[in-house]
Amino acid sequence: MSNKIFSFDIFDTAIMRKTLNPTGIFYVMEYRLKSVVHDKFTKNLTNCMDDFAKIRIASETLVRKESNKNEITIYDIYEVIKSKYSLSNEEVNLLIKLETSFEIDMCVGVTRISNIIKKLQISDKKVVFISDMYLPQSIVLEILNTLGININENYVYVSSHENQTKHDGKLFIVVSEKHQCSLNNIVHIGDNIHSDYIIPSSLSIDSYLFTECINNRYEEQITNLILNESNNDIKVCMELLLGTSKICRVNNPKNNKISCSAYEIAVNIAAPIFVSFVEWVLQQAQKKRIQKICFLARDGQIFYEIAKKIARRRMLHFKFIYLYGSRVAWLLPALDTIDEDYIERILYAPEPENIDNLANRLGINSVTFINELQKFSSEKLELHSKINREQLDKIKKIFYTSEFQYYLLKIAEEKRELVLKYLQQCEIVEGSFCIVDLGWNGSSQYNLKKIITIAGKTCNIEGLYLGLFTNKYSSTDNRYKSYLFGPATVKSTNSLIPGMQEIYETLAAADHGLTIGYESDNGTISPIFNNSTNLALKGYDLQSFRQGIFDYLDVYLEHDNFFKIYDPEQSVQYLLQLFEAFKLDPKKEYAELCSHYYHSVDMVEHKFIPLSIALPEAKYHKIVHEYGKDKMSWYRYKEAHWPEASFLLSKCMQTN
Amino acid sequence: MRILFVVHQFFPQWYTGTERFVLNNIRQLRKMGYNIEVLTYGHLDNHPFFEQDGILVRNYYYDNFKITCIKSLNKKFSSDFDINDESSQTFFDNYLRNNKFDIIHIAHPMRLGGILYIAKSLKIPTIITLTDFWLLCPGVQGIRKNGTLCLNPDGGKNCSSYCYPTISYEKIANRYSKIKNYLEIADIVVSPSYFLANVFQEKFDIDIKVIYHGIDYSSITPTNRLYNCDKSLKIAYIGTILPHKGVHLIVQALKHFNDNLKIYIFGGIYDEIYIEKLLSDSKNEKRIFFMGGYEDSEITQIMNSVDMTICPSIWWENSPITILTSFAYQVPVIGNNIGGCQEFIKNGINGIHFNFNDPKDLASQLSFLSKNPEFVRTLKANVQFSKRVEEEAFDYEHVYQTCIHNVRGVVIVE
Repeated sequence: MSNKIFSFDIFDTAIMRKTLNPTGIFYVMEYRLKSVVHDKFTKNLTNCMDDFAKIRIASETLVRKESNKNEITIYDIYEVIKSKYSLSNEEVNLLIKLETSFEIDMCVGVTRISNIIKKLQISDKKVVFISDMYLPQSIVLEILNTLGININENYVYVSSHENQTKHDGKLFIVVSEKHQCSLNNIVHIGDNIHSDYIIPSSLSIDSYLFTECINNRYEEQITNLILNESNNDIKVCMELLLGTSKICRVNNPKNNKISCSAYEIAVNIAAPIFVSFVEWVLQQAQKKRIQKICFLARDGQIFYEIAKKIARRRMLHFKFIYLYGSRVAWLLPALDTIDEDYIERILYAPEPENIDNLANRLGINSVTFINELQKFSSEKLELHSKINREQLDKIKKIFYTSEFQYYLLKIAEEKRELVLKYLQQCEIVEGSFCIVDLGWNGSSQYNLKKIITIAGKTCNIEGLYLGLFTNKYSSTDNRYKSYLFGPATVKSTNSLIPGMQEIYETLAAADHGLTIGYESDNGTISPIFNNSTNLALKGYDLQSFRQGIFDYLDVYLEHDNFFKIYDPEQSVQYLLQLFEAFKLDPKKEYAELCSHYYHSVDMVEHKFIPLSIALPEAKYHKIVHEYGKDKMSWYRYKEAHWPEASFLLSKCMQTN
Repeated sequence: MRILFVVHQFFPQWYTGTERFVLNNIRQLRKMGYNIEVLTYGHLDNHPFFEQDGILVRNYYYDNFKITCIKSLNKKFSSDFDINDESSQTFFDNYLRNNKFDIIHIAHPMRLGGILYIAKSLKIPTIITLTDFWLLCPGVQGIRKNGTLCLNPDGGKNCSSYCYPTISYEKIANRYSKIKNYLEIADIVVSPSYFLANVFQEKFDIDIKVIYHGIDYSSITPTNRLYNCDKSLKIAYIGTILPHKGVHLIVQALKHFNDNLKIYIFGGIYDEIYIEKLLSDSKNEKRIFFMGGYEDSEITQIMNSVDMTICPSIWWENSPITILTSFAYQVPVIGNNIGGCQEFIKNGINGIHFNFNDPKDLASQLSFLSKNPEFVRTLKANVQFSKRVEEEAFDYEHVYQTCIHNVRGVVIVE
């Protein structure tokens, strides 16, 4: 055992690039080359600068095709570019230096492998690195050393240096000869099935495949979009945006299955979407010259945290406010007349189960409410007894009586006072401010504006949403702006219904309960929650999810100099595609994790159903059959919110 | 990434080599997406300052860069001599905590050197570029008061004997004893020439990375001028006219030969006595022309009208911008055979050396060139273009990344 050599592939095994794909480096190089002044000395360089990435990739392909050598070098590649574009020696040297320098700067270690290497080295085991690579050995060595892997040149085998490759197996033989070790005493690990597994196995080398650095299904979808992208700046940003996901995914620090999945969903799906959304929010606020940005509880909590980190890093001067509120906390205070619309929303969308549920929706104490309601009813009313449609219609009639309306409006006025004091405390009853929320109708913005207007104050509220549906508040008002989709483009999300909003709301889950009102304590107004924690979380690992978001953000902000060019509006199609891939084709682990998240079916969290569920076999077949004909049939069963994840879990259960 | 550049003086009041190095690089780094601010010292700055954390502060913008300019109120602090001013520590601490820079790049530690200690305590990666000898020689240029060269402080004894007899030896020795530790605190030390790097490496046994200064080519047009045998050779001196720049060597050299050539002296007046002496010594000399000051925008015109430039300094030039600029225009240079001149000018290849501080040897080289003007064409053909400022910034970007990697560390063994 002591004579064994432990051989590690380098790229995508011991280390990985910060871009999603290896060719991403060339997009970054093209971007950087454009910062070189166009002058008479770089005249010829200018000719290939605008299309540099394409030229660089094509030149490598050409050299590989035409070379007689076992392995090409970076100098061979640039010789082709030099002669095709008549570059001077200085220009070629600049390009080679830039590429090698980028390769060093744009690599990160793969924690799991690095830790194994360290352990082997500490135990005096012989460790070698072996790579099919056109870069010089010195650069590869510098990359390894820069990333904390202490190794010298006698243990780094690079095909361009040895003129032998792993691909044909001869590089393994070089290692075996130089270290006087038989091939069957070599243990090799790498990511390429041919060069790192089939070939070494055929040489009796003990071989292992390490596939973590290979793009997963979501990363692959984005890669395909990047390939068809014509704008290099977008390519750079998407390579880094999703490259950041990949770095965090590969270096996932979690051990147990649930935490691991929560972390992975955060870094792979939620973080790129949410960080881009917050970037868009900050850009919109800057364009509108608005300094106060209110993130609405609870979906806005994660955006609030992201915005704070970005602003702190960039020294942006915004005032961020996390505004406690909810539909239930603001609906009644925003009431100055009771119209049919209000009554319909309270009584029928969806129908309340009992009077307690109805009182909660109104935001009124249940006992006070039933006592008041009893005054208008000859029947004995019970707080928790189920109410049917006929009883509901009777209650509706009570809502139309002027006495009952007077009662409701009086409570509305009292509650409005408290909300206004809270808003004053947050310094947002006058002037201009933005509110940030997930979506979907903009009713919170409408109610907030109404509360402030009824009080005789004037303010300008600009709503910034992840997505908006067609609705009466936002469809015609340009103070309601949305990022991923809006009333005009909402049709593009048709394939994601049912379940889309609930998934987004799960990804944006907060750590506290629903705001149901406010209380005054010695003049300080505080929100009242229905529960100290978020009732929906159950077994969902919010802590690991949040850690994923913040780890992502840390890596993302390291590329801040590149994200200066980031226009989040140009990444919308990528992010929609990413979400669509996740929603329609979830991984089994994600579907399982989401079965631990319970999403409310109404605005007061009266009843929860899980985001995903494993259906019993008979029910599964029935629902799938109906779902195939009409997706909206899913709503009839009220088993879970996310059909695709539920179908996957059901299928897995049957297979098991 | 937020980067703070620290420099002992800055534009618009100060605009020589180090300030230009900073401005060139921060402009390029900004283009590359970095967020840059500058901290400088208000040397002879008469603008209104306000008091903050025990020192004087003023903020201004130059070329859209935010500049924080400070002055010490500490009467015991000798800003051109002391490395650390303890009265500035509170300000540095608050300033660095509030601004959250990812990297601090000290382009010159004079007057603001203490920021390195605070940066270290806050674990902010910091690099130093050595742009002259100041850490080693408080007189900056390594020239003793008697005019002889000295890069051997001998623990401060020579400084005390030759240059600072009024300052106690203990204070000088104390300053000297802290230099090695000071440089070791920095994450990476960079020099713009191997010569300067070697001087510090030999004295303090520290690693120094060499990154040559880059030239801003945006306004440079390569000169097509080729020496015309029918006309006399034209040579330009371009720079400040101060004794250590050695313009007097040219005047003295002209007295030793009669060959036909023309020497143009471009540069503003900083030392009237010196200028008057030069004018008086050359009043009968028809081959030398004092052209007065020049603007940056006139450099192209100057370079296009001369065959060579000359750098006659009587000290070690570290990384002389004049030489690098000449090469950017493909104009060969005559320079001395020590320090930075020796490093950048390859004798007989892209320029001509003359023996340091030797007007007779300079005369013989100038005479040779006058008699063999076609040789200038050979020299010109061999000139390799100076490094671009973009390349310099790419190199510094790489240094910043390395620095961050090293400070944060990567691998943790479980």
